Amino acid sequence: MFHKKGAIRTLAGIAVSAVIALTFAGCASSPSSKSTSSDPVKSSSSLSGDLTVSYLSGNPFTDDTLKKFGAMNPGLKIRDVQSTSNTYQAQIRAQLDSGQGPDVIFIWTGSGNAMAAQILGGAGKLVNLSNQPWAKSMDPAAKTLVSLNGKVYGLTTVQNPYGFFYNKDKMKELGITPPTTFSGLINTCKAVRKKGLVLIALGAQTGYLAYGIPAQLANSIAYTKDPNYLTKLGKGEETWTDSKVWNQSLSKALDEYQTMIKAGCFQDNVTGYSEDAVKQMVASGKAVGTYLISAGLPALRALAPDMKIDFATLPATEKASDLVLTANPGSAWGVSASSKNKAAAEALVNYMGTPQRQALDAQANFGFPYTVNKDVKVPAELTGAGKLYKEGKVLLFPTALWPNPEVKQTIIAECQNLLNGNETVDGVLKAVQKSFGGK
Amino acid sequence: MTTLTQAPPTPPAQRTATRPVRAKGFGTPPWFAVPAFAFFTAIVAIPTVLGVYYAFTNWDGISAAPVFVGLDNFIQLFKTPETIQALGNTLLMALVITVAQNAIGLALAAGVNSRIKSRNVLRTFLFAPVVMTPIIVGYLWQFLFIPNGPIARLAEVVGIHNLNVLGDPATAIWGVMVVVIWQHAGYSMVIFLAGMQGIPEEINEAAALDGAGVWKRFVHVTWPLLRTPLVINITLSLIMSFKLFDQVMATTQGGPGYSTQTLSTLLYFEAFQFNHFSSGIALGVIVFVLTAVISFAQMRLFRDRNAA
Amino acid sequence: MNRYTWRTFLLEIVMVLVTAAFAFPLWMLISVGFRTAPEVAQNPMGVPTSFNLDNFTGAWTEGQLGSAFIVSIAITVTSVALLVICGAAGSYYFARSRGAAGMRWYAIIAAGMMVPFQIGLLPLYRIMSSIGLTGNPLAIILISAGVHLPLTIILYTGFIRQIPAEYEEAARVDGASSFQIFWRVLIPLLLPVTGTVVILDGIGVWNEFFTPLLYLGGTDLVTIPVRIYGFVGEYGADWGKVFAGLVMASLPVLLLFFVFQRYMIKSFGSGLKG
Repeated sequence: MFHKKGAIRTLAGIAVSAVIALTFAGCASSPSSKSTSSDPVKSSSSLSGDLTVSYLSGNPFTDDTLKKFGAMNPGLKIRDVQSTSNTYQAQIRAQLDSGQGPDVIFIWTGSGNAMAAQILGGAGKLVNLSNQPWAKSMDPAAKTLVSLNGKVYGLTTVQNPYGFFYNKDKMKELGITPPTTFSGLINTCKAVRKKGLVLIALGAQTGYLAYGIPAQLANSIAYTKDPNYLTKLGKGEETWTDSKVWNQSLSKALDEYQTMIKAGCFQDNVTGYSEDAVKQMVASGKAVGTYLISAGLPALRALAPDMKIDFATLPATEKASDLVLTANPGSAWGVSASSKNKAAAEALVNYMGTPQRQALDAQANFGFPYTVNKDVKVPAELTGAGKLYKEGKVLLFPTALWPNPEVKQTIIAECQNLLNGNETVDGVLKAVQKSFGGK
Repeated sequence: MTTLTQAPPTPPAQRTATRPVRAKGFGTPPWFAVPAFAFFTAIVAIPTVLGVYYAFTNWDGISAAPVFVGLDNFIQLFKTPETIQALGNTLLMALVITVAQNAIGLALAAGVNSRIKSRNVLRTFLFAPVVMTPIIVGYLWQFLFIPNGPIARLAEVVGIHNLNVLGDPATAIWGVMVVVIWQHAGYSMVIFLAGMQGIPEEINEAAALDGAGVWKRFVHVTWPLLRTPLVINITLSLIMSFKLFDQVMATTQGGPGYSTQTLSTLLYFEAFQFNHFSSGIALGVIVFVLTAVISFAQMRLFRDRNAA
Repeated sequence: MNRYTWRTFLLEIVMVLVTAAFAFPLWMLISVGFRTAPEVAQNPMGVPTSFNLDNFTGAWTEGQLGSAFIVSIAITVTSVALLVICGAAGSYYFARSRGAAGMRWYAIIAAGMMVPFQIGLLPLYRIMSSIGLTGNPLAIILISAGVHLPLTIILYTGFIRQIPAEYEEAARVDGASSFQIFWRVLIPLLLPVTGTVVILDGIGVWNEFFTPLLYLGGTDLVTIPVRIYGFVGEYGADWGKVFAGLVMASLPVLLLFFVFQRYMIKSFGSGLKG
């Protein structure tokens, strides 16, 4: 029950990258500023008073949302509380505890985080938003992630693909293409290694990147066994502890992870590299690509402004048709139960939940809407992901559905040990089992 | 500015000058301590006592009323291997940091307390890390320690290959200690320097004229006067290393694996990341008790028995 | 002993080399600060080829470091002033009280230094919010004054105990009140150790990170470390900008140290004598 360390790392990784992503997304394409005039929702100008919004720092899309919402409601005084992921939980939880918290709060989906929708909702800290307009049209999978006992506690808008982001020109130069089978992946790794480069720069010092690959591979394998396995686990029809599909898939995925390590798919000493450091490796041409969440893309872009980047999902099986996209549930927004200005707080979340804002959010974050939308505009960097997404071959990252925050910490620490040769596949499996706590 | 540089003047009556005087009987009225007490009580004592209560409850830090559970949290903590590892890491770090920081601080102080021309500039450079925000210092070193990064490349030059300081569980904890020692050696140096400046030049010169060598002069003249700075330095570095947090968070966040987890980082994760607020506070209580016991033992050990 | 001999020269060489090794991270800080992100990605060890000030101007304006400096200075100066006054007065009692009471209270306050700040975090925040001080720099001043009090009391009490009581006794014989003795006799005697207190408390308050973040985050009145740390979240892999911010944040304190170090170290010396 005490396997806990890297939450901060995971969150740091995800958040930092998301945040950076947004920073540069905002600068590069400024999707939000172009569309000012097309925002159809005009809130009533009767809103007034103070409105405090808390979120992870460096989030220009949210900055922009607040600016626009403020312009529509001149009577409202909006204040933003920003913090980095290392400190956000402690800061906001301390404020919520004293009843002084922000009105609108950036939260995580599921229950795998101290600031996750189900944990805060269960503690009575969030307002039930079930009757808001967006809540009815929310994608069912997304809805379960922010609901508890039938009440919706948050708005979540986008999912971010996880996978291999690579330098297209480098691939061409080496005469290789993105592998579509696991054995193909291993061969490609070896071929690239022979030329003195690495295929995948892995930043395993950053927690979420230490276990991202095996989790994604397990997800893909499980999908071939039962496409609905996650839904069953999400609904509680099956427990993580007892799910044969999941446990067998994770076991196989960890074996594959070890095969990848041995084949030299990654650079040496992966646990000494942070997410920031591996982006530098790709930018300087020492690696063909890196494993990343799409929200971390703009930071890579900033380091290599002219690089042609594309995306590939990592294959876990020997059939190209088994390829499936894994996407991480994005951020969510909740309204504090102790808010003194609930009308304004709900109005802001409703504004964020308008289809127009959601679409812009997806663009700014390099994400996709939860509900598969064939008309969605796919950025060049996500070409490889767009195809699978439009075919509906997309699966949520299991993290948010894990029963408690410790699972993530356990798998991070165990995978780092595995990468360092200090742990066996069996050891990882046992520790993860234990962390589920029978659930 | 000159007044600032004065040492306490010698007292008018010679007979007491040899012996420090304490608690003379005229008794300062207690109201002098009222402001200090008010701050201490309001800011440190009351919140701490209120907080310690949670160590004996099952409170998660966010939901409804806490339930008293006695020593359950402590028992649970000592049953989990992560706590034991964090405890071991903390003790190792406290020992190594305290010894190394003070040894290096002392050597640096001796070096810049000489007649070398560059002493003022060197002191500034050596003190520079002290004034930097610890969490940012950690970030700087994370950059320096990247495999193939600046430190690894320097190590190549002297024949150490493939250095992966923060990524290798065997070396990560030493990497974190380097960061801390680098940041605080200047602090120790300045305190030692202060002690050395208090050593009257005449004594040293007289000893030199008597034919005492450098080592003898150090042992018989310098060392006894460094006892007070040493006790202060050891106490401060012990307390600092038991509460070590910022530099770990900014470099490894406790990893890889659990290899750099300290009691304080574990406390933070428990209390604010994992919804086990009360376990986190129980760890805080353990940190406090450990620090207090070791600090007081250390003070006893080094106390100048004549002065006490 | 008084001359610059060949031995001194040798020591000078050694110390310069040692300091150079010590200052290597500082050099990296500055060299990365002057380069663009792609340049650093190519070669982290490279030397800046030009005086590229973009990172510095960027960090200064985007981080609003100007206003943060004012807040940090205001908070540090006020907190340190409070600490000096409360610490000196309190220590006067602890060191000079009749019987053992003073030293007993002294030990309790000194032990406060060992308390991990997280224990009292939530209760303190509740107290501050119940009196409406969240979001107010005054909260940071009060908290800093409390948190750094133990070190202050340790330094002052230790020093006062080394001062012979004859001065005070002489003043008492002349009919001075306790307050007059404190103000006219003790305070001037305490000037040296006050230098020590100002430096150590000053650095402590200046570098305080989580408390200002918790209380002031979201207001316009945040401190330098909070702003700089915000860069890490905002610019991540853009080390240049983060390091440029760190250099700027550290320089004023460093310059102050360089200018006043001779006095500071002397004052340390007096403060620790005995």
